Amino acid sequence: MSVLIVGLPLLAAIVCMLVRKKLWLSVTSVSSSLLLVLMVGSLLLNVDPAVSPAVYPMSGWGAPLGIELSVDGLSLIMLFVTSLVVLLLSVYSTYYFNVSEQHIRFWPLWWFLIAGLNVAFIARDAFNIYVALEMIGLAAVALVAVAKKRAALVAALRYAMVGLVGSLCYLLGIALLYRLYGTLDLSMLANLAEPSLSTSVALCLISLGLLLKTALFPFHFWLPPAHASAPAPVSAALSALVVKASFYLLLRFWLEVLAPSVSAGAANVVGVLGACAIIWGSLCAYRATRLKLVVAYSTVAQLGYLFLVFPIALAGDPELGFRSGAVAAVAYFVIAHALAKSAMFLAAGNILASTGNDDIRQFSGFASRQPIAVFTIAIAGISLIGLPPSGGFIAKWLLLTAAVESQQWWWLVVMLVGGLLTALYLFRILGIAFEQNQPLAKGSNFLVLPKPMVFCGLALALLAIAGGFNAEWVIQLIDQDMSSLHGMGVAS
Amino acid sequence: MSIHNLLPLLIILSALVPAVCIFAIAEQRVRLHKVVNYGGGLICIALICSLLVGVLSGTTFETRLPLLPGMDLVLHADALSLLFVSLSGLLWLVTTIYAVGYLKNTQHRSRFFGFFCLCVAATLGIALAGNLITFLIFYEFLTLATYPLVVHKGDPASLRAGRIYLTYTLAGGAVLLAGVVWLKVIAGPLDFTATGILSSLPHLNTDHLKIIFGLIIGGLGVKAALVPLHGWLPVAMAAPAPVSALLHAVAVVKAGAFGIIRVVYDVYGIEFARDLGLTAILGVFAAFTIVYGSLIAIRQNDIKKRLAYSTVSQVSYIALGTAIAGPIATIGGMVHLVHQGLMKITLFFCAGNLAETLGIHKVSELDGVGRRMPITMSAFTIAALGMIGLPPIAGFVSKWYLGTGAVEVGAYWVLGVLATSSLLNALYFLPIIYAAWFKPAAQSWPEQKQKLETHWMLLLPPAVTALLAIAAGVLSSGPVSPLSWVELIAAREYGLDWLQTGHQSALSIAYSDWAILTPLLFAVGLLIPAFRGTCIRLAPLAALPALVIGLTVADVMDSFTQPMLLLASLLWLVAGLYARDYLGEDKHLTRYTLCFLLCMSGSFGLTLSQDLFSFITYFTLMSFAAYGLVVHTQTSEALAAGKTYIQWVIAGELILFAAMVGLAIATGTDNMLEMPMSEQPIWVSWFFVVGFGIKSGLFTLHLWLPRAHPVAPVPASALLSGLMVKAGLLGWMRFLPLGQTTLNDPGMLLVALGLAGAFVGAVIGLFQKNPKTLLAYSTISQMGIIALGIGVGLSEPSLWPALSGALVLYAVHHGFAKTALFLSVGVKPLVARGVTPRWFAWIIVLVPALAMAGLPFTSGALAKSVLKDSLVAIEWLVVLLPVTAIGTSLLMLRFADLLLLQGNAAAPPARNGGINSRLVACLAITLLVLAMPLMSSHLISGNSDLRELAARGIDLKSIWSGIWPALTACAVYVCCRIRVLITRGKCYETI
Repeated sequence: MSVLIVGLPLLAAIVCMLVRKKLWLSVTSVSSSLLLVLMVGSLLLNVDPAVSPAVYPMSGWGAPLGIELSVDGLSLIMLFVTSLVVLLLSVYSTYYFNVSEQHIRFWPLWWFLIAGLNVAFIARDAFNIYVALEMIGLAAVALVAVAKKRAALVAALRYAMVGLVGSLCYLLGIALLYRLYGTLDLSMLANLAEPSLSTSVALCLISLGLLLKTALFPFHFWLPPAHASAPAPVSAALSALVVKASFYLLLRFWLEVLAPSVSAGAANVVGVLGACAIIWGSLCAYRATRLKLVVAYSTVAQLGYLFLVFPIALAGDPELGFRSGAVAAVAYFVIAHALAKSAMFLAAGNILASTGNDDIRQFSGFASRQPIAVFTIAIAGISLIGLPPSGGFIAKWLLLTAAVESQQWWWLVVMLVGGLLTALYLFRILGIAFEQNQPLAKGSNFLVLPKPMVFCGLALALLAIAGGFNAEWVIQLIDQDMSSLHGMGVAS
Repeated sequence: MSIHNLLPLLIILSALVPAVCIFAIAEQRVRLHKVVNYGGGLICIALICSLLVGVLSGTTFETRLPLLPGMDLVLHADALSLLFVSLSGLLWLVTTIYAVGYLKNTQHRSRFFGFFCLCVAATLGIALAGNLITFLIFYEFLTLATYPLVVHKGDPASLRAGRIYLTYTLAGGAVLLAGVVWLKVIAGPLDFTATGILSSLPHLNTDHLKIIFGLIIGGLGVKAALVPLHGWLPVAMAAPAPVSALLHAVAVVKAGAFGIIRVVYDVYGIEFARDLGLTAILGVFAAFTIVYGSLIAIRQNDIKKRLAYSTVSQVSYIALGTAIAGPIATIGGMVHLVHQGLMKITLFFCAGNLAETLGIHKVSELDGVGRRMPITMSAFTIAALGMIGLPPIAGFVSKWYLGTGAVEVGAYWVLGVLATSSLLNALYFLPIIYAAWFKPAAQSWPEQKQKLETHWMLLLPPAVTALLAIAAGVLSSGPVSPLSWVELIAAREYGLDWLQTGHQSALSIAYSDWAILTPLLFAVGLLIPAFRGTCIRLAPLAALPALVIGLTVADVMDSFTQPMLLLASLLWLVAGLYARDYLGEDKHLTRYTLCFLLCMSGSFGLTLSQDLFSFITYFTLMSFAAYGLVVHTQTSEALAAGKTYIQWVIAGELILFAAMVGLAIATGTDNMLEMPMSEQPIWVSWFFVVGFGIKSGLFTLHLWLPRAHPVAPVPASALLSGLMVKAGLLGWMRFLPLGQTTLNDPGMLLVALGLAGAFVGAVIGLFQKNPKTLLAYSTISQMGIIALGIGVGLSEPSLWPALSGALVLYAVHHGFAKTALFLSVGVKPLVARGVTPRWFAWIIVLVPALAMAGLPFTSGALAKSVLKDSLVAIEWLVVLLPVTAIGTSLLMLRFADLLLLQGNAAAPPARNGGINSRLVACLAITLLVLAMPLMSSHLISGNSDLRELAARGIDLKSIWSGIWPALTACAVYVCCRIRVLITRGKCYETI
């Protein structure tokens, strides 16, 4: 099954490359994304706590040389979110690109990107991960450039450079690891790795590469232009999924593979950078004048929350158990942010598509002119701020609880202030949208968008809200992970 | 999952589902909108009713949805949540009707009603939340759902309001979140439990608990508008009226207040919180907010802003009730949740009506609006008076319980806070009421197009809520009132089976209550245009049932009830008759009659009432309705006098309120028949002496009297001076421990002040040019003698049995005579017009004047001799009393001189018409004065000591003692005025 998870997107990419009719492209994409959801869903339902994580050696080539895939709770969550977002984004994209030329370029790259993401989530080998990172990076850069506008091209170029530097750092890091331990299989590395200077250097290089790709403050400089100038579904995917992939890998390396080598100081540094990202990203979002730029800076800020997990999870004795709470929190953050942020980018895309402009100052009266788009932004915003009832609230609750339990109350303050700052920039937009309805200026064309485009965003936002109810299954999945990991640690 | 587990969820869904539907329905389908709106509201109320029945029968309703491990989403219906749920459900429906009317033909209705329903769903969720986390979720949800309503208009003001609202509430929410997370980590799932959960958990760091309390209350305080976190509330006034009504009365501020109640009672536990010293701090904040909010409210000219600051102040009563930390105060605080809701929503509805119909936004534009929009302003008046805390409106019940609760735990400072607040409330509400009803309209308003003053949908909601506010007060001790429900809750919070409170009697309609009800029914009839004329014509007859009861029912309560009731009913009858002619063509006859009837009802009520609650209700009713009589003429003099009058009345009310609270607590009952008055603390006696002293014009507390009594129309003056001052006497006799305990200090003070009043009143009266002012000073003088009697009763309890009868006799005599004198003032113009012969005027002036002076065979002689006999043990008083008679005689001489001999008013042409009711009334009262000595045996039949005194024959000595003061007075008067009299005599000769 897990082979198919990688195989299906690759197959779809090849089909899309061969087919050139718009209708066929759409049918292929929507049906395969639906299939992907069903597959991941069935994996999720059939997850067996006894054999987790499930390991599948591809074509019989096992570790240490072959391609081994493994699915555990965290990766399942990532896969599920990815497939869900991809489904809605694919539906949206079939309506979004109205020029057939764009369709032809978009779809193969899109499926290539998804294949890369899925590989990154289930690969058990550091080099395979490198390959996945390159797949993701190249596809993403090309997707940004699909729009063929000047700003998009510049941003894409910068994005490409950063991606390459990041990949290079990562490659150096794993080369060093291979030199030290003679293997790149992650579970083997986890057993072999011991704290040493060389391991630390390798960890530093790997982290640097992944941090660049995750756009943690102060490496976030490339993100806003790239995310803001890409086509709407691409922006959504970049913000919701792509940056999460590199964060996911970072989490794997820090908490699982090279956990003993991570020092408390390093964790705190990353935490502080995360806090800076929250504050700085929110302030930039507040000052931005274009809607998509606001949303992009909001991504910078939201990514900051993710990094708070490290100081909280790594504080004190790992047996005390805030680790599982913190990881659950961060998993939930990823889910909530992916859904909310993609919803928001789609809504912004809709506004841009219908008015040809996303300058915030012209939003006056939008609450009545495009009520659903504004509503989408509003309820996605609820999740981003972390207000109940929403997935964002659960995530924040879990992280706050973990912070209190680990007796690091200062993160509490950071998170609460971050929430208020988020509210600040979101309600600035909404306030303008609620202004008295001004009559449309003569000559300004106002496109009426197809219904599915409008409702895709709304559906994503509602899913983000729905994440606020019955969050137990996510936490159970993470708990299983953590208990098995813990058992492993004891065994070694 | 059975229905028991689903019901709380269904209630929330009954608001949530309409919200979703409304968003989906197109803007144009107005009818479908309405159906969904009303349908949701009705279903919600039906569900709440079934929940109420279930909870009463002891079923537990709980919906539990898993949220996180060890953390469920719990909806739980207990008594406290039902209190808030019922309020929200009911007011939701009412507000929906209002909003449909208010937003007719405007844009974005589906957005508005959608968020409106969401708001209600959130409020219902807050009410039903079964643990702190669920509460938090709905609390934040409410913040979000309200925002679109606040900015609904989309103008810069509302956008600014929305921004400020969010800044405050989101910051508050963040602080609250921090506190809740922390508490959850150290104390577990935080399910609300009746006596608190934290006290039973060992090993909690109390310092942490205190900080957490600060965080949580800080967060909740934003919505509850505790100063200094209240800044958003006045700004949020930019929202449409239904939203303001909802924000202020039901949803937002109440969510905060309700949260405070939940946290203090059900999380910390009230006793634990008190032991930690947390309630004291909360109390200080609440008290400060109460006073501060009112102070700022006075300065506001914008109506809605004034109401907003009033909310700031009023909502903190709830927090104050919590902070006092006693069971009775708990009742007061919690019941105010409902009461304030009912009253405040009425006020905002009315403000909305004024703005919508007439475009009035400022207090200064309200002049005379009562005539254009009588129903709206009636509702406003009721609610505003309730806010001030006047009985029997709901607000009084809250204040009463807060007050008694505070005394119960010894927090006397709360009485001061309550008094200050009521005073300030009066300061900012009474001018509005005054301007609306008494000032002439300064501008012309848009024509009244339809039959009603505005659309019925705008009119019905305030009328309903105002009536509910009255009902919640009047029926507060009934079985289904908010109060009885709250008593149940409070008992549970303190882990008791039953709470003994000072207030249990109900207002049931007994035979004697018809005396009170008849004037009220007439008053209601006045409001209906079809009956108005009849009611005005028959108004005097409203006193008949009281007369019948006074004649037939012996010993209604004690020996003095019956004479006082007889006096009152006769005087109202006579004065009413008199007014029919005197005010026959007055422009504001309806208003006058309304005040007249209300006053009458209050006067009978306070005579007949048997418990504290009804006594103070009727006392207040009478005092406030009399204001309308005082300022009736609306001359600048009358207005100034009215202002003085109302200031003194309010001060008196406050003092009496405090005294009655103390009395209720000290004696443990409020039934005056069973009440052991001798157990009252000394401060309560002092308060009674002063409080009723104001009413009876006790010297030094009399300043309002000579200004207020003369400016009213003649019949009203007569009533004020003849009857209403006697309410003070009645109060003294009812509430002071007369004949039971020796209270030397207040007693001697009363004697001293009474004597001083008797002399000084007479002296000042002599120099008055206006005969009515002269009579007012004479009243001060006469009431001084009565006060003296009370003072003797206090310091010499053994004299009281005889003295009480003598005082009643004296009061009845004074009542008849003074009324007759006042009424005679109005006869002078009739003489000038030639309607009546001069000799008739002479008779009706001289008969009561001679009676006042105490000449033999008059009622005055009888009253004075009886009083003297009962005081015989105190020799120096027996010597002094006749001296006061000289003063009285001088006054009467002067009065007769002024009225009969001096100047003639310009004579307008005579009105033709058969029997002049004014003259009939004068004749009747004169006959009553004459007949009074004959009735006296009947009047004092209940008093055996006095019967002996009165039965003594009349001998020469007593005749002489009646004559010599009058003769002296004649001599003095002639000497002083000899030159004036001579010149006048020459004038007559030349004529």
